[in-house]
Amino acid sequence: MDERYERVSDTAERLARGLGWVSIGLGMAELIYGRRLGEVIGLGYHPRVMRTYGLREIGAGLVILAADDPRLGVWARVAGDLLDLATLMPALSADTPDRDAARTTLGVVAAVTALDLACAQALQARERLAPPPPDYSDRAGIRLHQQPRIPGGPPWTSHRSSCDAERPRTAASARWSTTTSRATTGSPTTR
Amino acid sequence: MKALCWHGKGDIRYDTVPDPTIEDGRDAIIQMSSCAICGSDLHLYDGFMLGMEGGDIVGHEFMGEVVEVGRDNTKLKVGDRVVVPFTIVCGECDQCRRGNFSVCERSNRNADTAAKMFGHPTAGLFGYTHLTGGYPGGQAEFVRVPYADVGPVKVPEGMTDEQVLFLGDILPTGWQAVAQCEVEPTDTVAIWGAGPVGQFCVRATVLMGARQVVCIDRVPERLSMAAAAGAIPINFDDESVLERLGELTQGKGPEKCIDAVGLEAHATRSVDSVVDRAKQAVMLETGRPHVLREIFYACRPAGTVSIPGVYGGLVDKIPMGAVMNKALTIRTGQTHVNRWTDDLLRRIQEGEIDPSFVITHTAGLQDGPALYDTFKHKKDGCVKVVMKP
Repeated sequence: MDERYERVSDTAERLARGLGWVSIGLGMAELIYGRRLGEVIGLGYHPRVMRTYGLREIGAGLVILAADDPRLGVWARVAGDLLDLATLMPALSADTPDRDAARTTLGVVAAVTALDLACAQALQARERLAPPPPDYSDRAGIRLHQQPRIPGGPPWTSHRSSCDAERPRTAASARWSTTTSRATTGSPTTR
Repeated sequence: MKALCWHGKGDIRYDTVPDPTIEDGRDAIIQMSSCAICGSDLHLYDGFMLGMEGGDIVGHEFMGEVVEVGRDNTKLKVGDRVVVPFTIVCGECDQCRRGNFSVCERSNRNADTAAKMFGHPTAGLFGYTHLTGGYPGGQAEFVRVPYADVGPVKVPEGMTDEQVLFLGDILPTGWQAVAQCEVEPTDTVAIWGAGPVGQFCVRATVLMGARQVVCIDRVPERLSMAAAAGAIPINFDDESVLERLGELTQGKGPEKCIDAVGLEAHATRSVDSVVDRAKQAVMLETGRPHVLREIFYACRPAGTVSIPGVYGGLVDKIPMGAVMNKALTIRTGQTHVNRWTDDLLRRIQEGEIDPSFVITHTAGLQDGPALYDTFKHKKDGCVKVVMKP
């Protein structure tokens, strides 16, 4: 298997899953410790904003961890990061009580945004590098006719007409026919 | 001896363990010549099945040569080549005499524990948790086979391991799944899952003479394998399963539906599958029944749903209203392997089916830990892994 593809794939996958858990943890913190968190980041306490953003984070985390392809959840995180940046920008104004904390928070969110973006791009690269799937179209495993016996019918022979499942050859399989036959009344007969 | 042992979620190791010994007069010791990783082994690998202990030998698809026989076993002799069914059966209890081998009343030596889980005990299985008897599995150099005068199937001269190995599980599993549907020539049979069992369901459906067979999955190479036998493939990443099935059946739905996926259905973009994954992560649910829900909606009224896919515990939000009001028949169960092996062996000998088509990876037993990962993530086009000692 392509080593570069494997490397990119494993790294991107692990990073995405890690970000998923971070999302859930951060979201829970925003829901439970919204007031304290608001003070720490210099935003003050805005309960509705904190709760909404908390639910958003948890949702993105769940999508990353639950889906087989985490790309949607990671891009949702990127969108959420941009929203966070937009929310934090006004906190840099002169009348913000703790501008230093707000500036620090903005820096952290910018760094997280870059990480989320890198992860999303790695996941996209994984898709581009994926080797073409093998073709197993020559692995029928059973005898098939080249042309359908009935025009428009399936490209196989129905073995029912000569089906020895209805005439099992050994005592062990005698009780269990693999077919049932219908009486002319249309109701199934018992085996 | 060397064996693949379970040590926790995602942790299979190639360990040195004690050789098995004869414990009962009906036993035999088999020297494994080929074994396989089954899709249901992944439920153990992913930690979804209760009852595993660190060091348990895994594997229930295996075959080999008899190297030792208990004093009461008159069926086998040293040197016989046998395929060993994954179900351990006594051949004498009420259920075995009815042919319901997968619910043998005697072979599960932890019957009380199983009864607490399921209401009644079911058959002992090789390498599949202590709920099914805690029997060491077949991904090992040597295996003790209990009731070896009943279960093992002798391999005729001249047949390769690859031709017959799957008689022990996935071939009769696919066959039984379709037989339970009682296929009619006018039927559309829809099979969810193009893994190895789904692949054998496709071939069984063709051999039993349905009008058309549809196979649903998201892995392109598996769909191409199913199409090779005449199945109409549906890639659920690319199109709506329900809409496509409607197109193929004039809006009425398939008469027969088969769940060859089981408890680890993929988390697709559907809300229910994502919720299932989240609930499973916190043990509010032990399975992800997205496929079951879809089948119950898709199946034609008065149709039959056959479930060979493995489920272990509790699942939520099953649309029983659809099941009841549409008069669906549900048939399920672990495979009664010995019910089918004579007939299937004859079909292989006569060239009607060659099960080796499904093998994509063959390696040594020492490569088992890496191959579990390859098989789980379907890397490198992996469909079925066979290992040799």
